[in-house]
Amino acid sequence: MAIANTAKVMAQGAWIGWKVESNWTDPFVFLAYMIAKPMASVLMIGLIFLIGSDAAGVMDQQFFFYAFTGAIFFIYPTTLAISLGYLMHEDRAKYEVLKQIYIAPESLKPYIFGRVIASSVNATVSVIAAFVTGTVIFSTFFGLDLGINVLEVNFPLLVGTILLGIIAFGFLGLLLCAINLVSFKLQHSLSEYTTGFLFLLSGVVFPVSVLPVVAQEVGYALPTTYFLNLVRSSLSGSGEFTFDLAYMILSTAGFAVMATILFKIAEQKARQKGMIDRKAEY
Amino acid sequence: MGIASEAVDHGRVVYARAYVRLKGLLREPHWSIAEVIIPMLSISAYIYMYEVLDAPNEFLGFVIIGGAMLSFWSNVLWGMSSQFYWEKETGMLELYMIAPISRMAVLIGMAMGGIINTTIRAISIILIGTFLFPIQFVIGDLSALIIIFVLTIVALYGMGILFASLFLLYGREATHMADLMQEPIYVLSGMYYPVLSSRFFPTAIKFIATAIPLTLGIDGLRQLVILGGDFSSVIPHMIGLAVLASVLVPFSYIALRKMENISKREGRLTLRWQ
Repeated sequence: MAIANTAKVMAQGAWIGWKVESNWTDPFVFLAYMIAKPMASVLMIGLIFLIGSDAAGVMDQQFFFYAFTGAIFFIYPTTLAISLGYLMHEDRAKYEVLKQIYIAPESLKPYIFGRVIASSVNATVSVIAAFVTGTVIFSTFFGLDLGINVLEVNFPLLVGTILLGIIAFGFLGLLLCAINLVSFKLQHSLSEYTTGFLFLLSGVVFPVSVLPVVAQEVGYALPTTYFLNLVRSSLSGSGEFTFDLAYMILSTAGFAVMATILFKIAEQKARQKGMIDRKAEY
Repeated sequence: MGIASEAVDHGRVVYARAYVRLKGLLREPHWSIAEVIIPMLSISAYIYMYEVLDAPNEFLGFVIIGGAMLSFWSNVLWGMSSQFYWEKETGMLELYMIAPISRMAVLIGMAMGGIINTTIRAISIILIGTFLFPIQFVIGDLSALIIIFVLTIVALYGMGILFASLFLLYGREATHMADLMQEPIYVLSGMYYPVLSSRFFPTAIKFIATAIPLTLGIDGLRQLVILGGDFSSVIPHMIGLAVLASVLVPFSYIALRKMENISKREGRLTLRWQ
Protein backbone atom coordinates (compact mmCIF):
# COMPACT_ATOMS: atom_id res chain seq x y z
CA MET A 1 0.00 0.00 0.00
CA ALA A 2 2.76 2.39 1.03
CA ILE A 3 4.80 1.48 -2.06
CA ALA A 4 1.80 2.00 -4.31
CA ASN A 5 1.15 5.36 -2.69
CA THR A 6 4.79 6.43 -3.12
CA ALA A 7 4.75 5.36 -6.76
CA LYS A 8 1.55 7.32 -7.31
CA VAL A 9 3.04 10.49 -5.80
CA MET A 10 6.19 10.03 -7.88
CA ALA A 11 4.11 9.68 -11.03
CA GLN A 12 2.21 12.83 -10.11
CA GLY A 13 5.49 14.63 -9.42
CA ALA A 14 6.85 13.55 -12.81
CA TRP A 15 3.67 14.73 -14.52
CA ILE A 16 3.76 18.11 -12.76
CA GLY A 17 7.46 18.40 -13.59
CA TRP A 18 6.77 17.78 -17.24
CA LYS A 19 3.92 20.31 -17.19
CA VAL A 20 5.89 23.02 -15.39
CA GLU A 21 9.01 22.57 -17.51
CA SER A 22 7.25 22.33 -20.85
CA ASN A 23 3.99 24.24 -20.86
CA TRP A 24 5.49 27.73 -21.07
CA THR A 25 5.41 27.46 -24.83
CA ASP A 26 4.30 25.32 -27.78
CA PRO A 27 5.96 21.92 -28.31
CA PHE A 28 8.09 23.07 -31.26
CA VAL A 29 9.68 25.97 -29.35
CA PHE A 30 10.15 23.70 -26.32
CA LEU A 31 11.95 21.10 -28.44
CA ALA A 32 14.13 23.79 -30.02
CA TYR A 33 15.00 25.04 -26.53
CA MET A 34 15.80 21.51 -25.36
CA ILE A 35 18.14 21.02 -28.29
CA ALA A 36 19.64 24.49 -28.87
CA LYS A 37 21.03 25.09 -25.39
CA PRO A 38 22.92 21.81 -24.87
CA MET A 39 23.88 21.79 -28.53
CA ALA A 40 25.52 25.19 -28.12
CA SER A 41 27.51 23.97 -25.10
CA VAL A 42 28.77 20.97 -27.05
CA LEU A 43 29.57 23.12 -30.10
CA MET A 44 31.56 25.45 -27.87
CA ILE A 45 33.67 22.59 -26.50
CA GLY A 46 34.23 21.26 -30.03
CA LEU A 47 35.26 24.71 -31.26
CA ILE A 48 37.65 25.21 -28.33
CA PHE A 49 39.18 21.84 -29.25
CA LEU A 50 39.46 22.75 -32.95
CA ILE A 51 40.80 26.26 -32.47
CA GLY A 52 43.15 25.29 -29.63
CA SER A 53 44.47 22.24 -31.53
CA ASP A 54 44.91 24.31 -34.68
CA ALA A 55 46.97 26.88 -32.76
CA ALA A 56 49.03 24.11 -31.11
CA GLY A 57 49.52 22.33 -34.43
CA VAL A 58 48.38 18.93 -33.07
CA MET A 59 44.95 17.34 -33.51
CA ASP A 60 44.45 14.65 -30.87
CA GLN A 61 41.20 12.89 -31.86
CA GLN A 62 41.20 10.80 -28.67
CA PHE A 63 41.06 13.97 -26.64
CA PHE A 64 38.18 15.15 -28.82
CA PHE A 65 36.30 11.97 -27.90
CA TYR A 66 37.09 12.64 -24.23
CA ALA A 67 35.91 16.28 -24.20
CA PHE A 68 32.94 15.75 -26.53
CA THR A 69 31.45 12.84 -24.58
CA GLY A 70 32.18 14.58 -21.27
CA ALA A 71 30.37 17.74 -22.37
CA ILE A 72 27.37 15.78 -23.66
CA PHE A 73 26.80 13.47 -20.71
CA PHE A 74 27.44 16.28 -18.24
CA ILE A 75 23.98 17.44 -19.34
CA TYR A 76 22.54 14.94 -16.81
CA PRO A 77 24.02 16.46 -13.62
CA THR A 78 23.50 19.98 -14.99
CA THR A 79 19.82 19.52 -15.80
CA LEU A 80 19.04 17.80 -12.51
CA ALA A 81 21.01 20.25 -10.36
CA ILE A 82 19.42 23.27 -12.04
CA SER A 83 15.82 22.06 -11.90
CA LEU A 84 16.05 20.67 -8.35
CA GLY A 85 18.20 23.51 -7.07
CA TYR A 86 15.31 25.85 -7.83
CA LEU A 87 12.43 23.55 -6.94
CA MET A 88 11.92 24.45 -3.26
CA HIS A 89 11.97 28.17 -3.98
CA GLU A 90 9.66 27.79 -6.96
CA ASP A 91 7.09 25.73 -5.07
CA ARG A 92 7.34 27.72 -1.83
CA ALA A 93 7.61 31.34 -2.96
CA LYS A 94 6.56 31.45 -6.60
CA TYR A 95 3.65 29.01 -6.90
CA GLU A 96 3.02 28.81 -3.13
CA VAL A 97 2.16 25.10 -3.20
CA LEU A 98 4.90 23.64 -1.03
CA LYS A 99 2.75 23.60 2.09
CA GLN A 100 -0.01 21.71 0.27
CA ILE A 101 2.47 19.17 -1.03
CA TYR A 102 3.99 18.88 2.42
CA ILE A 103 0.77 18.21 4.32
CA ALA A 104 -0.33 15.50 1.90
CA PRO A 105 0.67 12.04 3.27
CA GLU A 106 4.13 10.72 2.28
CA SER A 107 4.46 13.30 -0.41
CA LEU A 108 7.52 15.56 -0.38
CA LYS A 109 10.37 13.12 -1.07
CA PRO A 110 8.43 11.03 -3.62
CA TYR A 111 7.32 14.30 -5.24
CA ILE A 112 10.96 15.43 -5.51
CA PHE A 113 11.91 12.09 -7.08
CA GLY A 114 9.00 12.46 -9.46
CA ARG A 115 10.52 15.76 -10.54
CA VAL A 116 13.86 13.92 -10.92
CA ILE A 117 12.15 11.58 -13.41
CA ALA A 118 10.75 14.51 -15.43
CA SER A 119 14.13 16.28 -15.54
CA SER A 120 15.91 13.05 -16.45
CA VAL A 121 13.60 12.52 -19.43
CA ASN A 122 14.31 16.09 -20.57
CA ALA A 123 18.04 15.56 -20.07
CA THR A 124 17.94 12.32 -22.08
CA VAL A 125 16.27 14.11 -25.01
CA SER A 126 18.94 16.83 -24.84
CA VAL A 127 21.77 14.28 -24.66
CA ILE A 128 20.51 12.33 -27.68
CA ALA A 129 19.90 15.48 -29.72
CA ALA A 130 23.29 16.98 -28.81
CA PHE A 131 25.10 13.69 -29.50
CA VAL A 132 23.55 13.16 -32.93
CA THR A 133 23.79 16.75 -34.19
CA GLY A 134 27.25 17.27 -32.65
CA THR A 135 28.58 14.12 -34.28
CA VAL A 136 27.13 15.09 -37.66
CA ILE A 137 28.43 18.69 -37.49
CA PHE A 138 31.96 17.83 -36.36
CA SER A 139 32.41 14.88 -38.70
CA THR A 140 30.84 16.55 -41.75
CA PHE A 141 32.30 20.05 -41.49
CA PHE A 142 35.50 19.52 -39.53
CA GLY A 143 36.47 15.91 -40.25
CA LEU A 144 36.57 14.96 -36.57
CA ASP A 145 35.90 11.31 -35.88
CA LEU A 146 34.74 10.17 -32.45
CA GLY A 147 35.99 6.68 -33.22
CA ILE A 148 32.86 5.03 -31.85
CA ASN A 149 32.06 1.65 -33.38
CA VAL A 150 28.37 0.91 -32.73
CA LEU A 151 29.07 -2.83 -32.69
CA GLU A 152 31.61 -2.40 -29.90
CA VAL A 153 29.49 -0.13 -27.69
CA ASN A 154 28.66 -1.78 -24.36
CA PHE A 155 24.97 -0.82 -24.31
CA PRO A 156 24.06 -2.59 -21.04
CA LEU A 157 26.88 -0.71 -19.30
CA LEU A 158 25.82 2.57 -20.92
CA VAL A 159 22.17 2.19 -19.85
CA GLY A 160 23.17 0.99 -16.38
CA THR A 161 25.56 3.93 -15.97
CA ILE A 162 22.91 6.42 -17.00
CA LEU A 163 20.38 4.94 -14.56
CA LEU A 164 22.96 4.91 -11.78
CA GLY A 165 23.89 8.49 -12.67
CA ILE A 166 20.27 9.60 -12.52
CA ILE A 167 19.97 8.08 -9.04
CA ALA A 168 23.21 9.77 -7.88
CA PHE A 169 22.25 13.16 -9.35
CA GLY A 170 18.71 12.74 -8.00
CA PHE A 171 20.16 12.50 -4.50
CA LEU A 172 22.40 15.46 -5.29
CA GLY A 173 19.13 17.27 -6.12
CA LEU A 174 17.65 16.13 -2.80
CA LEU A 175 20.66 17.64 -1.07
CA LEU A 176 20.11 20.94 -2.90
CA CYS A 177 16.43 20.82 -1.91
CA ALA A 178 17.49 20.32 1.73
CA ILE A 179 19.72 23.40 1.61
CA ASN A 180 17.02 25.46 -0.08
CA LEU A 181 14.43 24.33 2.41
CA VAL A 182 16.33 26.08 5.22
CA SER A 183 17.61 29.05 3.23
CA PHE A 184 15.98 31.81 1.19
CA LYS A 185 18.51 33.45 -1.05
CA LEU A 186 20.56 30.62 -2.48
CA GLN A 187 18.17 29.21 -5.06
CA HIS A 188 19.89 30.85 -8.03
CA SER A 189 23.51 30.52 -7.00
CA LEU A 190 23.41 27.07 -5.39
CA SER A 191 22.83 25.08 -8.57
CA GLU A 192 25.31 27.27 -10.45
CA TYR A 193 27.98 26.67 -7.81
CA THR A 194 27.23 22.94 -7.90
CA THR A 195 27.40 22.57 -11.68
CA GLY A 196 30.43 24.90 -11.84
CA PHE A 197 32.43 22.87 -9.30
CA LEU A 198 31.39 19.57 -10.89
CA PHE A 199 32.34 20.88 -14.35
CA LEU A 200 35.80 21.90 -13.13
CA LEU A 201 36.57 18.91 -10.89
CA SER A 202 34.93 15.89 -12.56
CA GLY A 203 37.09 15.51 -15.67
CA VAL A 204 34.37 16.77 -18.01
CA VAL A 205 36.52 18.43 -20.68
CA PHE A 206 40.02 17.58 -19.43
CA PRO A 207 41.43 14.79 -17.24
CA VAL A 208 41.28 15.24 -13.46
CA SER A 209 45.05 14.57 -13.34
CA VAL A 210 45.68 18.04 -14.84
CA LEU A 211 44.27 19.76 -11.74
CA PRO A 212 46.35 20.76 -8.68
CA VAL A 213 46.76 17.86 -6.22
CA VAL A 214 44.15 19.01 -3.68
CA ALA A 215 41.57 19.57 -6.41
CA GLN A 216 42.41 16.14 -7.87
CA GLU A 217 41.55 14.49 -4.58
CA VAL A 218 38.14 16.18 -4.56
CA GLY A 219 37.62 15.26 -8.22
CA TYR A 220 38.42 11.61 -7.62
CA ALA A 221 35.84 11.50 -4.81
CA LEU A 222 32.95 12.74 -6.96
CA PRO A 223 30.46 10.30 -8.54
CA THR A 224 30.35 12.51 -11.67
CA THR A 225 33.99 11.64 -12.43
CA TYR A 226 33.21 7.90 -12.43
CA PHE A 227 29.92 8.42 -14.25
CA LEU A 228 31.77 10.09 -17.15
CA ASN A 229 34.56 7.48 -17.07
CA LEU A 230 31.96 4.70 -17.31
CA VAL A 231 30.13 6.43 -20.17
CA ARG A 232 33.43 6.73 -22.06
CA SER A 233 34.31 3.09 -21.35
CA SER A 234 30.92 1.89 -22.58
CA LEU A 235 31.09 3.98 -25.76
CA SER A 236 34.61 2.87 -26.60
CA GLY A 237 33.89 -0.75 -25.71
CA SER A 238 36.73 -0.80 -23.18
CA GLY A 239 36.71 -3.73 -20.76
CA GLU A 240 38.42 -1.78 -17.97
CA PHE A 241 35.51 -0.42 -16.05
CA THR A 242 35.26 -2.57 -12.91
CA PHE A 243 36.90 -0.05 -10.57
CA ASP A 244 34.87 2.86 -11.96
CA LEU A 245 31.64 0.86 -11.67
CA ALA A 246 32.39 -0.26 -8.12
CA TYR A 247 33.24 3.28 -7.06
CA MET A 248 30.19 4.70 -8.81
CA ILE A 249 27.89 2.25 -6.96
CA LEU A 250 29.64 2.90 -3.67
CA SER A 251 29.65 6.70 -4.00
CA THR A 252 26.01 6.74 -5.12
CA ALA A 253 25.01 4.68 -2.07
CA GLY A 254 27.06 6.92 0.23
CA PHE A 255 25.63 10.01 -1.37
CA ALA A 256 22.08 8.66 -1.04
CA VAL A 257 22.52 8.02 2.69
CA MET A 258 24.10 11.43 3.28
CA ALA A 259 21.43 13.32 1.24
CA THR A 260 18.58 11.46 2.97
CA ILE A 261 19.92 12.23 6.43
CA LEU A 262 20.57 15.88 5.61
CA PHE A 263 17.13 16.24 4.04
CA LYS A 264 15.55 14.81 7.19
CA ILE A 265 17.48 17.28 9.37
CA ALA A 266 16.60 20.20 7.07
CA GLU A 267 12.95 19.17 7.05
CA GLN A 268 12.81 19.14 10.87
CA LYS A 269 14.56 22.50 11.09
CA ALA A 270 12.23 23.99 8.48
CA ARG A 271 9.18 22.80 10.43
CA GLN A 272 10.54 24.08 13.73
CA LYS A 273 11.30 27.52 12.27
CA GLY A 274 8.12 27.78 10.22
CA MET A 275 9.99 27.81 6.91
CA ILE A 276 7.76 25.43 4.93
CA ASP A 277 5.33 28.18 3.94
CA ARG A 278 7.48 31.27 4.53
CA LYS A 279 7.37 33.45 1.47
CA ALA A 280 10.31 35.60 0.49
CA GLU A 281 10.56 37.70 -2.66
CA TYR A 282 14.04 36.99 -3.92
CA MET B 1 7.67 72.01 -17.56
CA GLY B 2 10.98 73.25 -18.96
CA ILE B 3 13.64 71.09 -20.53
CA ALA B 4 15.98 71.69 -17.60
CA SER B 5 13.53 70.56 -14.94
CA GLU B 6 12.56 67.58 -17.08
CA ALA B 7 16.23 66.64 -17.35
CA VAL B 8 16.57 66.94 -13.56
CA ASP B 9 13.55 64.66 -13.09
CA HIS B 10 14.99 62.08 -15.48
CA GLY B 11 18.31 62.33 -13.66
CA ARG B 12 16.62 61.65 -10.33
CA VAL B 13 14.89 58.57 -11.76
CA VAL B 14 18.18 57.31 -13.20
CA TYR B 15 19.88 57.86 -9.83
CA ALA B 16 17.05 56.22 -7.88
CA ARG B 17 17.09 53.06 -10.01
CA ALA B 18 20.88 52.88 -10.11
CA TYR B 19 20.95 53.36 -6.33
CA VAL B 20 18.91 50.18 -5.84
CA ARG B 21 21.46 48.23 -7.85
CA LEU B 22 24.40 49.66 -5.94
CA LYS B 23 22.71 49.20 -2.59
CA GLY B 24 22.01 45.59 -3.55
CA LEU B 25 25.74 45.10 -4.06
CA LEU B 26 26.34 45.94 -0.40
CA ARG B 27 23.20 44.36 1.02
CA GLU B 28 23.67 41.00 -0.67
CA PRO B 29 27.46 40.68 -0.96
CA HIS B 30 27.21 36.90 -1.47
CA TRP B 31 25.54 37.53 -4.84
CA SER B 32 28.53 39.56 -5.97
CA ILE B 33 30.90 36.89 -4.69
CA ALA B 34 28.90 34.22 -6.54
CA GLU B 35 29.03 36.24 -9.74
CA VAL B 36 32.82 36.21 -9.59
CA ILE B 37 33.40 32.65 -8.34
CA ILE B 38 30.86 30.88 -10.58
CA PRO B 39 32.24 32.17 -13.90
CA MET B 40 35.78 31.56 -12.60
CA LEU B 41 34.94 27.84 -12.34
CA SER B 42 34.11 27.46 -16.02
CA ILE B 43 36.87 29.89 -17.04
CA SER B 44 39.36 27.69 -15.16
CA ALA B 45 38.00 24.57 -16.87
CA TYR B 46 38.46 26.09 -20.33
CA ILE B 47 41.97 27.30 -19.43
CA TYR B 48 42.89 23.75 -18.35
CA MET B 49 41.45 22.46 -21.60
CA TYR B 50 43.69 24.81 -23.61
CA GLU B 51 46.64 23.71 -21.47
CA VAL B 52 45.93 20.06 -22.27
CA LEU B 53 45.74 20.99 -25.95
CA ASP B 54 49.10 22.77 -25.57
CA ALA B 55 47.64 25.92 -27.15
CA PRO B 56 49.77 29.11 -27.07
CA ASN B 57 49.70 31.07 -23.82
CA GLU B 58 47.69 33.93 -25.36
CA PHE B 59 44.64 31.62 -25.43
CA LEU B 60 44.57 31.63 -21.64
CA GLY B 61 44.27 35.41 -21.78
CA PHE B 62 41.55 35.12 -24.43
CA VAL B 63 39.51 33.02 -21.99
CA ILE B 64 39.98 35.50 -19.14
CA ILE B 65 38.93 38.48 -21.26
CA GLY B 66 35.93 36.56 -22.63
CA GLY B 67 34.98 35.42 -19.13
CA ALA B 68 35.17 38.98 -17.79
CA MET B 69 32.96 40.27 -20.61
CA LEU B 70 30.58 37.38 -19.99
CA SER B 71 29.66 39.16 -16.73
CA PHE B 72 28.28 42.05 -18.77
CA TRP B 73 26.27 39.72 -20.98
CA SER B 74 24.83 37.95 -17.92
CA ASN B 75 23.94 41.32 -16.44
CA VAL B 76 22.27 42.41 -19.69
CA LEU B 77 20.24 39.18 -19.82
CA TRP B 78 19.28 38.74 -16.18
CA GLY B 79 19.63 42.27 -14.84
CA MET B 80 18.12 44.14 -17.80
CA SER B 81 16.17 41.95 -20.24
CA SER B 82 14.32 39.85 -17.67
CA GLN B 83 13.97 42.67 -15.16
CA PHE B 84 10.54 43.93 -16.19
CA TYR B 85 9.27 40.33 -16.13
CA TRP B 86 10.53 39.97 -12.53
CA GLU B 87 9.09 43.34 -11.59
CA LYS B 88 5.79 42.08 -12.97
CA GLU B 89 6.05 38.86 -10.94
CA THR B 90 6.72 40.78 -7.72
CA GLY B 91 4.00 43.35 -8.38
CA MET B 92 6.38 46.27 -8.90
CA LEU B 93 5.81 46.87 -12.58
CA GLU B 94 2.46 48.59 -12.18
CA LEU B 95 4.07 51.00 -9.71
CA TYR B 96 6.63 51.99 -12.34
CA MET B 97 3.83 52.46 -14.82
CA ILE B 98 1.66 54.71 -12.68
CA ALA B 99 4.56 56.86 -11.45
CA PRO B 100 5.04 60.09 -13.45
CA ILE B 101 8.46 59.04 -14.70
CA SER B 102 10.14 58.06 -17.92
CA ARG B 103 10.38 54.30 -18.37
CA MET B 104 13.54 54.87 -20.41
CA ALA B 105 15.07 56.66 -17.41
CA VAL B 106 14.24 53.63 -15.25
CA LEU B 107 16.02 51.34 -17.70
CA ILE B 108 19.00 53.68 -18.03
CA GLY B 109 19.27 53.79 -14.23
CA MET B 110 19.13 50.02 -14.14
CA ALA B 111 21.87 49.89 -16.78
CA MET B 112 24.08 52.45 -14.96
CA GLY B 113 23.88 50.56 -11.67
CA GLY B 114 24.45 47.27 -13.50
CA ILE B 115 27.48 48.65 -15.37
CA ILE B 116 29.16 49.80 -12.14
CA ASN B 117 28.46 46.51 -10.34
CA THR B 118 29.49 44.40 -13.28
CA THR B 119 32.67 46.36 -13.96
CA ILE B 120 33.79 45.57 -10.40
CA ARG B 121 33.03 41.87 -11.00
CA ALA B 122 34.78 41.84 -14.39
CA ILE B 123 37.90 43.45 -12.90
CA SER B 124 37.82 40.89 -10.07
CA ILE B 125 37.67 38.06 -12.62
CA ILE B 126 40.66 39.48 -14.51
CA LEU B 127 42.66 39.93 -11.29
CA ILE B 128 41.88 36.44 -9.96
CA GLY B 129 42.54 34.90 -13.38
CA THR B 130 45.88 36.67 -13.63
CA PHE B 131 46.77 35.49 -10.13
CA LEU B 132 45.82 31.85 -10.77
CA PHE B 133 47.15 31.37 -14.29
CA PRO B 134 50.27 32.46 -16.19
CA ILE B 135 48.70 35.27 -18.19
CA GLN B 136 50.42 38.42 -19.38
CA PHE B 137 48.55 41.53 -20.40
CA VAL B 138 50.15 44.18 -22.59
CA ILE B 139 48.23 47.43 -22.80
CA GLY B 140 49.56 49.16 -25.89
CA ASP B 141 47.04 51.96 -26.29
CA LEU B 142 44.98 52.97 -23.28
CA SER B 143 42.79 55.46 -25.16
CA ALA B 144 41.80 52.82 -27.73
CA LEU B 145 41.07 50.41 -24.88
CA ILE B 146 38.76 52.91 -23.18
CA ILE B 147 36.98 53.75 -26.45
CA ILE B 148 36.41 50.07 -27.29
CA PHE B 149 35.18 49.30 -23.79
CA VAL B 150 32.79 52.26 -23.63
CA LEU B 151 31.38 51.60 -27.10
CA THR B 152 30.89 47.91 -26.26
CA ILE B 153 29.06 48.76 -23.05
CA VAL B 154 26.82 51.38 -24.71
CA ALA B 155 25.88 48.98 -27.53
CA LEU B 156 25.45 46.06 -25.15
CA TYR B 157 23.17 47.89 -22.74
CA GLY B 158 21.29 49.41 -25.68
CA MET B 159 20.59 45.82 -26.62
CA GLY B 160 19.62 45.14 -23.00
CA ILE B 161 17.05 47.96 -23.02
CA LEU B 162 15.70 46.65 -26.33
CA PHE B 163 15.32 43.14 -24.88
CA ALA B 164 13.72 44.53 -21.72
CA SER B 165 11.06 46.13 -23.90
CA LEU B 166 10.46 42.91 -25.82
CA PHE B 167 10.40 40.87 -22.61
CA LEU B 168 7.64 43.15 -21.33
CA LEU B 169 5.28 41.03 -23.40
CA TYR B 170 6.53 37.71 -22.07
CA GLY B 171 5.08 35.62 -19.30
CA ARG B 172 7.06 32.78 -17.77
CA GLU B 173 8.81 32.10 -21.08
CA ALA B 174 10.97 35.18 -20.32
CA THR B 175 13.30 33.11 -18.15
CA HIS B 176 13.63 30.43 -20.83
CA MET B 177 14.27 33.01 -23.54
CA ALA B 178 17.02 34.63 -21.45
CA ASP B 179 18.38 31.16 -20.73
CA LEU B 180 18.38 30.37 -24.43
CA MET B 181 20.45 33.46 -25.14
CA GLN B 182 23.35 32.27 -23.01
CA GLU B 183 25.25 29.37 -24.58
CA PRO B 184 24.31 30.12 -28.23
CA ILE B 185 25.62 33.67 -27.76
CA TYR B 186 28.78 32.34 -26.09
CA VAL B 187 29.38 30.20 -29.18
CA LEU B 188 28.79 33.00 -31.69
CA SER B 189 30.53 35.84 -29.88
CA GLY B 190 33.70 33.86 -29.19
CA MET B 191 33.60 34.12 -25.44
CA TYR B 192 36.40 31.53 -25.11
CA TYR B 193 38.09 31.63 -28.54
CA PRO B 194 38.71 34.10 -31.35
CA VAL B 195 35.90 34.13 -33.92
CA LEU B 196 36.78 36.89 -36.37
CA SER B 197 40.32 35.62 -37.05
CA SER B 198 39.40 31.93 -36.98
CA ARG B 199 39.39 29.87 -40.18
CA PHE B 200 36.72 27.57 -38.74
CA PHE B 201 33.94 30.15 -38.98
CA PRO B 202 32.50 30.90 -42.43
CA THR B 203 32.35 34.59 -43.42
CA ALA B 204 28.56 34.61 -43.21
CA ILE B 205 28.65 33.39 -39.60
CA LYS B 206 31.31 35.98 -38.74
CA PHE B 207 29.11 38.68 -40.24
CA ILE B 208 26.09 37.52 -38.20
CA ALA B 209 28.27 37.34 -35.08
CA THR B 210 29.28 41.00 -35.44
CA ALA B 211 25.63 41.96 -34.87
CA ILE B 212 26.27 41.01 -31.23
CA PRO B 213 28.24 43.86 -29.61
CA LEU B 214 30.17 41.33 -27.52
CA THR B 215 31.87 39.81 -30.58
CA LEU B 216 33.51 43.05 -31.68
CA GLY B 217 34.09 44.19 -28.10
CA ILE B 218 35.83 41.01 -26.97
CA ASP B 219 37.90 40.79 -30.13
CA GLY B 220 38.94 44.46 -29.86
CA LEU B 221 39.90 44.09 -26.20
CA ARG B 222 41.92 40.94 -26.93
CA GLN B 223 43.75 42.76 -29.73
CA LEU B 224 44.65 45.58 -27.36
CA VAL B 225 45.52 43.80 -24.13
CA ILE B 226 46.84 40.42 -25.25
CA LEU B 227 48.07 40.66 -28.82
CA GLY B 228 49.67 44.08 -28.34
CA GLY B 229 47.59 45.79 -31.05
CA ASP B 230 47.52 49.57 -31.45
CA PHE B 231 44.77 52.09 -32.21
CA SER B 232 44.75 51.37 -35.95
CA SER B 233 44.27 47.64 -35.38
CA VAL B 234 40.90 48.21 -33.72
CA ILE B 235 39.46 50.96 -35.95
CA PRO B 236 37.11 48.45 -37.69
CA HIS B 237 35.92 47.32 -34.25
CA MET B 238 35.25 50.92 -33.23
CA ILE B 239 33.28 51.62 -36.40
CA GLY B 240 31.24 48.45 -36.00
CA LEU B 241 30.47 49.12 -32.34
CA ALA B 242 29.58 52.76 -33.05
CA VAL B 243 27.14 51.61 -35.73
CA LEU B 244 25.59 49.06 -33.37
CA ALA B 245 25.27 51.62 -30.56
CA SER B 246 23.72 54.23 -32.83
CA VAL B 247 21.15 51.71 -34.08
CA LEU B 248 20.36 49.85 -30.84
CA VAL B 249 19.89 52.81 -28.50
CA PRO B 250 17.25 54.72 -30.53
CA PHE B 251 15.61 51.46 -31.59
CA SER B 252 15.30 50.40 -27.95
CA TYR B 253 13.51 53.69 -27.20
CA ILE B 254 10.99 53.10 -30.00
CA ALA B 255 10.54 49.44 -28.96
CA LEU B 256 9.91 50.38 -25.34
CA ARG B 257 7.07 52.74 -26.29
CA LYS B 258 5.54 50.22 -28.68
CA MET B 259 5.72 47.29 -26.29
CA GLU B 260 4.34 49.33 -23.43
CA ASN B 261 1.33 50.26 -25.54
CA ILE B 262 0.76 46.67 -26.62
CA SER B 263 1.09 45.44 -23.02
CA LYS B 264 -1.42 48.01 -21.80
CA ARG B 265 -3.87 47.24 -24.59
CA GLU B 266 -3.66 43.50 -24.00
CA GLY B 267 -3.69 43.80 -20.22
CA ARG B 268 -0.33 42.08 -19.72
CA LEU B 269 1.25 44.49 -17.26
CA THR B 270 -0.30 43.00 -14.16
CA LEU B 271 -0.51 39.37 -15.24
CA ARG B 272 1.43 37.01 -12.99
CA TRP B 273 2.34 33.32 -13.31
CA GLN B 274 1.05 33.10 -16.83
